[in-house]
Amino acid sequence: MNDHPRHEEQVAPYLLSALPDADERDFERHLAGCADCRAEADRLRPAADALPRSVTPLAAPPRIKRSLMDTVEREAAERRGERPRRSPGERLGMLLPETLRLRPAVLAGAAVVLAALVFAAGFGVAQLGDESRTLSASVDDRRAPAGSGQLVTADGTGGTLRVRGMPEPRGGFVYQAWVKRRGEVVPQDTFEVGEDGSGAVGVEEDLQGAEAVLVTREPPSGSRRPSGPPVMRVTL
Amino acid sequence: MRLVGDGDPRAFELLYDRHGGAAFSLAYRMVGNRSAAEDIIQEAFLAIWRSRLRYDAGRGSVRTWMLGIVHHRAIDALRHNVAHDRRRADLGGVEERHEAAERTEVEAARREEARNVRSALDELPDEQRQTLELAYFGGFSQSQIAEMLEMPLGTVKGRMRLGLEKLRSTLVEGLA
Repeated sequence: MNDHPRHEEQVAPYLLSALPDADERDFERHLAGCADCRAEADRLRPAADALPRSVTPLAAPPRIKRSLMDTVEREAAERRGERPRRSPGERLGMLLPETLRLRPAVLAGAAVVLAALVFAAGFGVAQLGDESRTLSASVDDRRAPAGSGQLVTADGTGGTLRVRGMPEPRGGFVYQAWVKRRGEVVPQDTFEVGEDGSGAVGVEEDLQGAEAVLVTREPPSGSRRPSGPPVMRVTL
Repeated sequence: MRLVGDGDPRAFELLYDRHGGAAFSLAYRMVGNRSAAEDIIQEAFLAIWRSRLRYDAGRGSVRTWMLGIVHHRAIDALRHNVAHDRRRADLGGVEERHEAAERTEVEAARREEARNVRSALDELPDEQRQTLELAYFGGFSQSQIAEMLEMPLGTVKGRMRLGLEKLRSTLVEGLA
């Protein structure tokens, strides 16, 4: 604790990843044993965590996903003890001369774009597969008298929660989704609502075995634990 | 996330679909170069897949966790290779930027969120905003920033703390 004053001024540089590697390791050791520095880091972390959210969303090139999934599928097959399977693009590419092997990638890219266009044309998530489910939310009538919400989930692997008629939280607060499982709550993304009270948020957490998806009012960068009772609940 | 940890490719694909765009956007913002950003995203997501990096729900949302991993990868790239030089060479705007189309309500909400956080950043005094951006997005260490701006290290640390303090207040209290 004696070296606390020296470390206190390192909290902000640490959160911004601006400490040299050696200093960062030293600070983390200090942080583990200093409640004051941990409290200060916890207090300022929401601001640092908000910085990446200021970036204008860009579309990632489709080839990144193709390359990642090729690797992931191959490694998953190896873990299962199967012969590595090549993706359709890879298989077709293997049949072509070297100079033509970009074409399957182009075709795969076109397929991705086509799929995206079909989605954009109005194919709702609930219609994408037999396993998708749409669940209605119950809303706290006192705090959101005109509110409603629907969770669309496919195969239980997360989903999208769409809300309507929700009041805009005061004081710069936002809404945050949570997944409740065995009495614990797992934080999901924050989201805002428009003037008409509509908004949406992706629920990342695997919903298999979960009890409910909750929505609470939270500071803009989100919270680790709900700050208050849920204003909306989707029972799973 | 449990299914990703179990090695389920479909769960991993879902994770990428939901966060790949935001991850690429952050990496591109930091290194200013499309191919370098692609390398960073590949490395970050494969690290998650291969090592099943531990997601601790107690530390925030999946998105915050993912972006933290990408940020650290980008910092490594900036500090240990030529990404800084590449970025400087790209500042003339030769890189084509493809903004994500607002195909879904979630994407529209994220775009709105980006506007709000940028607005909060714009509320900061210039010297505080500059210090935060050089550190977080530029990947410069506090000593490098002090040298670049020709000011004492203590002043840089102070501006970082004040900048985060003010940003937090603006975001939390809606004072922007």
